[in-house]
This record gives sequence, C-alpha cells and structure tokens, in this order.
Amino acid sequence: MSPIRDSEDQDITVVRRVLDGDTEAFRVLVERHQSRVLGMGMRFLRNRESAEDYSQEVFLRVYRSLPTFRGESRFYSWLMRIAYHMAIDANSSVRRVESLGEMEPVDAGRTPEEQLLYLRTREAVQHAMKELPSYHAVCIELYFFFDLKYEEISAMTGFPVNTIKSHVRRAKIRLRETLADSVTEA
Amino acid sequence: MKCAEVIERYFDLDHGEPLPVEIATHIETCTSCRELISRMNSGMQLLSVSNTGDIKDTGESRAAFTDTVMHRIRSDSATIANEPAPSEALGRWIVTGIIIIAALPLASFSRSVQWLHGILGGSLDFPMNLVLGLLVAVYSLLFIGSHLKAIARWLHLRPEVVRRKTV
Repeated sequence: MSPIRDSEDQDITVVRRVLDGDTEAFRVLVERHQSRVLGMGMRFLRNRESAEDYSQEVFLRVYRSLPTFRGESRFYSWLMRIAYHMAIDANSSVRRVESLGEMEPVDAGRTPEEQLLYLRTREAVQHAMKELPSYHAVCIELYFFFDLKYEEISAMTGFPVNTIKSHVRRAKIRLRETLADSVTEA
Repeated sequence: MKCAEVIERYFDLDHGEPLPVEIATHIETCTSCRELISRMNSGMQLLSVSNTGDIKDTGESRAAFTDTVMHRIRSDSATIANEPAPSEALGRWIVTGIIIIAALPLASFSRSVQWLHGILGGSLDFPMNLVLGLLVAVYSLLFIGSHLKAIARWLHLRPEVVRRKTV
C-alpha cells in the first residue's frame, strides 16, 4: 500500500472515531495537517499570529462540519477546500497575498545536497509563478506546496483541470531546465 | 520511446499517479531520464509545505497549537451539549407561537382593552390590530431567521454551489 493511500485511510478511520463520539481523536488530524493549514494561512495572511488564529478557526470549522464529510474525496482535500475558502474570506484580495515561494527559505535540517535541490526547485517554481497573474499562480502553489491534485485544485479554485495542468506543466518544464543546468554544473 | 517523449508524458502525471509501463520501462534503461525524474520527484517532495521549514515549526509550537485547538473544540462541544436539542428548541418556539396566536382573539376581551374601547370606541380597532399584526410579524421573522437551515431542508431547497471567483 502506498504511503499516500495509507495516510488517507488513517484519516478516514480517525474521522469515523470522531463521529462516533471520540472527540480526542481529532487531535490526530490537527497534528497531521496543521503545517499545511498554517502554510495556507501564512500565504494569505502574511504573519504568523494571524495565520495561527486562522488555522484554529479552520480546524474548528472542520470539526463542526465533520458530519457533512461524505468521504467522496480525500479528507485532506476536503480540509484544504475549507481552508482555502476561509483564507479567501479572511483576505478577499488574492492579488495582495505573499506566496510561500517568496518567503525566506529556512534550513529544515536538510543535507547540503537536499538544501541545494530544495533551493533550485523552489527557484524554478517561483519563476513559473511569477510568469502568471497571482490568481492563476495559486494553482502552481497548491500543486507544488500543498500536494493537491489537479481535480482537487479545480474544485477549490474553479479553474478547469486543463488550465491547471498547463500551468503546472510550465512549472515542471522550468524545473527540468533548472535541474538540467545544475546537473551540468555538477 | 524517445527521452523527450517520456519526459513530456511524465509532466502530465498527477500526484500519486503511477508511472505508465512504457515510461517505467524506459527509465529502467535510460540513466539520464531516471536521474532527472528522480531529482524532480525529490525536489517536489522537499518543496511540500509538510516537509519544509518555511513556516518555522518546532515540535513545541506544534504541540501548543494542537492543545489550543483541542481546548477550543472541547469548549465548543460543551457549549453545544448545553444548548437545547434542535427539536426541543423548535418545540418551545411552536408553543410560544400557539400562545401568541391564541392570545390575539382573547386580547379584545381583557379588562384594559375593554376600558380603552369604552373611551375610544371604534377608533381603537385599527391601532390595536396594527400592534398585534406587528407582534406576529416580528415573531415570525425571528422564527424564520433562526431556523433558516431547517426550513430549507423542509422545503427540499439545496444551497446553490457558488463558485468563488478569484479573478
């Protein structure tokens, strides 16, 4: 079983436990997904404090809405859809938001090789995002930073799947060029 | 299959989508494609918010955040538990409504209204009906406003899916 599939199954199991009355089980979902929700908050609200307040509200909303989760999509996708719409409500202008790609890179205990690869990848994705208006660039960001699938991004943003694929493809081409250069340099 | 074609097809793959057999077969034998795809996959994994330190997470701050959320959820659950059940609350609204409606015709038989009627005569009817009408209207509006979801369900209304325009 793949790690992604495994993690999805675990989410569903936890959701069932919460719906059966085990409120404490919700802790697992908060621990598992808080980084991504906080990341979404940082993108839209630009400061840690507001992003944390926003993230709390997202998890509270998710908890209250849990009875409406039908399991037709991944729990993570459902959660991020709520998070995305709440972020837009919190900051109605997508044009003014700061991208995660523009934030100060942080060394997260990577090896030097990983750090170099991370910076190169980030630079390529950031470059591809700058070529698009910010309301389209969000598609690239949701794909690369939040691991969302084409269909999921389409459901969240309302953009057609083919438009999203085309934006992501452009970013991947940029990434190939950057990584091919780094291979040559090495 | 040529390398360029393999990479082009790889670009179209979504997260978690398995490699098609022809691509998998090609990269088994082609070192440059294998290396490029492996580097791209590793780079994309490192970029994921869950794997980066971009949001400056520490174990301590993560635990504190989780505790805060859980505390709020417990308080929220307690509040919900202390609230009357929807059916119980609806029952109270209905009983109050019935009392108001039953009181309307009875109001004209009350001593004070009859005393006023003795002084003002027929000119009391219009303001009296206006006040009672307003009372019923306000009560109805409050009832509808606080039971919108239940009324929508009862009328089989489905909320329209609103596509948020980010443009």
